[in-house]
Amino acid sequence: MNEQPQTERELFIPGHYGCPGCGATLALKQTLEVLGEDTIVVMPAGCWSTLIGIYPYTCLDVPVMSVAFATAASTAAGVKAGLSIQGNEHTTVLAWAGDGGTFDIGFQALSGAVERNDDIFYICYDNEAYMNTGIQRSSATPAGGWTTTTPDSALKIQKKKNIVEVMAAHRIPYAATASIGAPEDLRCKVQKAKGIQGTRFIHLFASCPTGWRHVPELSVEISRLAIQSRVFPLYEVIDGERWQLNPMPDKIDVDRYIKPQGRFKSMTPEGIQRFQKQVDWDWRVLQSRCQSIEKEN
Amino acid sequence: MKKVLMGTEAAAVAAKLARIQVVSAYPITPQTVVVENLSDMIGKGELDARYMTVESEHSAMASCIGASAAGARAFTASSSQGLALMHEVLHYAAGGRFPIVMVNANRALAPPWNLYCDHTDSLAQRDTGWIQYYCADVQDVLDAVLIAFRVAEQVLLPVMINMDAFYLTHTSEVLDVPDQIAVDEFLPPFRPDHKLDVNHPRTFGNVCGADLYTSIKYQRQRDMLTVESLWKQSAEEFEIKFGRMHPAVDAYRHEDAEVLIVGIGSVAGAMHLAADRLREDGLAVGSLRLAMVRPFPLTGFLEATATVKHMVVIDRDVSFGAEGIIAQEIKAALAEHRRHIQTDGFIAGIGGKDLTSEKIIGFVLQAINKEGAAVRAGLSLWAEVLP
Amino acid sequence: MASKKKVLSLSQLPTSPFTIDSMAWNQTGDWRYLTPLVADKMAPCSQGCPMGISIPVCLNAVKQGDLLKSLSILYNANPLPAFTGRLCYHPCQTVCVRRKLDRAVSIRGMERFLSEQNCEAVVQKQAQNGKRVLVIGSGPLGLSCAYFLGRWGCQVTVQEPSAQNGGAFRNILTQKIDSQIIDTEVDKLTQLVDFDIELCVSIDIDTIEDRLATFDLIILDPTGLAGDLPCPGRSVVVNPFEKAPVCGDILVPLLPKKLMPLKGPMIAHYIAAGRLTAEIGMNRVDPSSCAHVMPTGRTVKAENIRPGMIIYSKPSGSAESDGNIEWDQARVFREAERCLSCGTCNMCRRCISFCPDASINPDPDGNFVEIDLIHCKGCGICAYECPRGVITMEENQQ
Repeated sequence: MNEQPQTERELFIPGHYGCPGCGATLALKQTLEVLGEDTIVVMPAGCWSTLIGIYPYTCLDVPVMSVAFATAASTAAGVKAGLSIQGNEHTTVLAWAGDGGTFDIGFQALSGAVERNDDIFYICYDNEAYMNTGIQRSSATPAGGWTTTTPDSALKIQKKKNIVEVMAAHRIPYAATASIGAPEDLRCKVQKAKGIQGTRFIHLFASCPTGWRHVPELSVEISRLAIQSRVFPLYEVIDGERWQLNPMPDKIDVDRYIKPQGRFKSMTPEGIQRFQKQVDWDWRVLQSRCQSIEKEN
Repeated sequence: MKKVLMGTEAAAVAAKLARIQVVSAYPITPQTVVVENLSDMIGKGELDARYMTVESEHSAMASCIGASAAGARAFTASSSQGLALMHEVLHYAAGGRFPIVMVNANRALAPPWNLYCDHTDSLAQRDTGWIQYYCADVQDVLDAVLIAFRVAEQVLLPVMINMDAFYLTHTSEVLDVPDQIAVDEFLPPFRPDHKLDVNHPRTFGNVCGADLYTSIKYQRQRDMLTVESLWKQSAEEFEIKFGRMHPAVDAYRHEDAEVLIVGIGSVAGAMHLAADRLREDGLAVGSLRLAMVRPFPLTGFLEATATVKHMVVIDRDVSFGAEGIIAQEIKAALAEHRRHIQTDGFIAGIGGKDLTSEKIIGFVLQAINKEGAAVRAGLSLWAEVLP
Repeated sequence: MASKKKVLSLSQLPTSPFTIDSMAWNQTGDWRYLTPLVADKMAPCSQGCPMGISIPVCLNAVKQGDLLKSLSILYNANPLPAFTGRLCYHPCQTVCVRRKLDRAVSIRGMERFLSEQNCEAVVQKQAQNGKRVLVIGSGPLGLSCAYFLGRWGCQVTVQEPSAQNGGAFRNILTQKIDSQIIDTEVDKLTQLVDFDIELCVSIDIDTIEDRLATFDLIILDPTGLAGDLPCPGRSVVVNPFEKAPVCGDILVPLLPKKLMPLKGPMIAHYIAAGRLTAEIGMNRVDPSSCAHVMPTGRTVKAENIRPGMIIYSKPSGSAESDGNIEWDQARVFREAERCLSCGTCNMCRRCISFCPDASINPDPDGNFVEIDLIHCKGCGICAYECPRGVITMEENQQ
């Protein structure tokens, strides 16, 4: 495949403070390649707001606004309103938040913006914990995942929150999962979402070698394995009603996804079996959701 | 044009005249009428603005910040609990140098619930770096919003226009409403030098080291300290254009006063009456209303207190474990005189308790005679508490 | 290194905390302890090819429509593609990684197609060095020897005892290839590289050394001769597959057992032996020339190639078999597309796409990728994600 950058000037400048192999940086780089220079990024506290650079320097060549942790969606909505009243309806306002800033502290503002159908593009880059503060559990952390606040002596028992379902419940025009392990799919979805009016949401899976305890060179591969094992399947929801699966490689066992990651190292074989059962069940539910809509049509 | 309006209505009219571009609306008694009226004005096409029905005050302020950062004139209104919820983002608005204007209805903080006049809500936010102005009457509300936008956009700092719950929010007065053309001449469109602009892409507010952080804050303090004179300039121009003066320090009969009654907000009227009555009894009393509390209007304050010997401060607020906030502010400022000035602080009129001129006279006499009904608790004398 | 715009006075600080410059000055390259090395490696097919043809590079050129480049690569290693394209036992195809997906790429068939293209533009003789060389025998070894020495600037004469080009190999050739094609192929070489073939020249082993009066170097191709290896006076037996210096002006290449007696499918080995002999000869007559030096490189193992990363879905359409079908340009192009370009960068730009630090970039012409050593953190994603094994992580040099 031949990827040609879509923009003339480089929007992503090297020299940032991201960990080697950081999935989140790859995620924004690939997103901006599609969105281009007519984009304003609103980013709350999280890995990105720290790695972007030390003031007064930055690694992005689009306007970026660092905002308070809980305010990604609300500030983005305000930026959009401010642009709109000045006659600018073309600039994409991208709210770029981590899982902490989306699933937890930013949840209310996100729900508010989506309910109002504010014309913003919200992407949650999900590394499944509060990584910037040193790997603490969020509601996006998978069950059994080690973090400093769910250590081996007290691993997380709650399942990962399904944020796309929540978005769908708001009747959002477009919600989808995407992953750095499927870059063509990501590009497609970002391009599609860019052209839609109203709130668009992408849940973007981004590996974290530091927090997940895997070798940095496997960052993309781990995300790929998540798709293949259906731990993180690729799908879209249109208007909160039409669920459709995206093409994925053949399903593999979760084993291959779990084994390279140190955060799962204390998972027993029984634990892996339970994990597998849960993934299988969720996958069946998702499939039936996608099929039942087809049946109605 | 003359109109009968109450405080909240006046605030909405002022915002409309100021041609605000983005409104973030969240209801809380007793400011709700402000945002309700704006919704109707926008709906009818009287005001060209984007109206955002946000889901909390925290989001209200955040969306104002976003709109202001994009280069639009932003406005919102809140009170008490809502203002408290916004606290984190108030710091953000001021630190980001966004010239947002917010109307705050001064209302008591829970628990227990109390919807009535109290100044702790906004005074507890005095360290956020917002310019704070307290209105004496409803005309003041309307006019101050206009002056506020002008000063805010000159200095690039947000302004909180405070009005007392119910005494101003829900009290009607005959107002002189300026016409749009005259207001447009007074208040030009918002054209910031720095904003989120795809043609000049920069990052706002990323992590900063201690070295630059110190200088950034110094720069902000330096700019904040110009506000007293900026407000004076704008207020003088406003007076020329519209015939009304809104000073940062409102001193009454202070030139030869030995005793000054000090307060903020709508108590102004009662303070004037009390001063007049005490003068009739031969006491050299005047009153001092701080219209501007942040920045502390030191120049005006020192002039007004040049010869005073005794300050009687009325606080419709408490800083628990210390004393009334205005009393603290006064004492700190008075130290500049380098001479001892007696200051007696009274906690009164909180949670909506009425402040009448009779009560104020009682405070002054208690301060002078060292005896009266108010009960001492630490540095303050508390009026009308249960025995 | 990018310079850093510094804030030295308050007046430089924007009123609102907006940035003034980029982070490019930050040398994050200091973080790494492994450094990616971008280097094309010999693909399994090229490793298997007796002549060492850079097959993926050649096929990449075909894919891009640059026939001249593909011909250039081919003729740098193989003067007789019309023969090998029909006879060779194609060890390249036997190890072709594409087999893991469907069928090996039909490399031999494409070679035959290329042999029919006009290669005048790419086969050029270097400046004359004034050395005269006699090659005795016009089989594939002799012709190959003549071709390479001729290209490298020598004036070559080929003397063939029999009446036909190809010498003892002629019979094997004619079994599979039309006579006309054989002669056309040989004529092509004589014209391009400007050497003569004299047929029906009887060779007297005992007087060969006298020929040194008129020739600086004599090479005797023994493949057609029955019996023991001929050893005229002053001759030196060389093993072309060893790189040892020789002292002798009459060279007789010694071929390994597997190449004796003549075998048609092994033709590429003879051609390779011819080239190697020519190199040895060149070292003897014109040691200062480095025209003939073949670059050596690292190799890549088949297991390091990941076809699954290159082809996401099951490939559609069936692979071509290269029996006796006519290869036209369209078919060749389709077949070249099937090549996975093992070990050879084909600018798929996956590495660029997957670098979290934007530290791997195409050169301005888009021909190869370069690592930005100032910023590269050594995470290794590029090396892992290159499905062709082009990038490897190396320990930092001290």
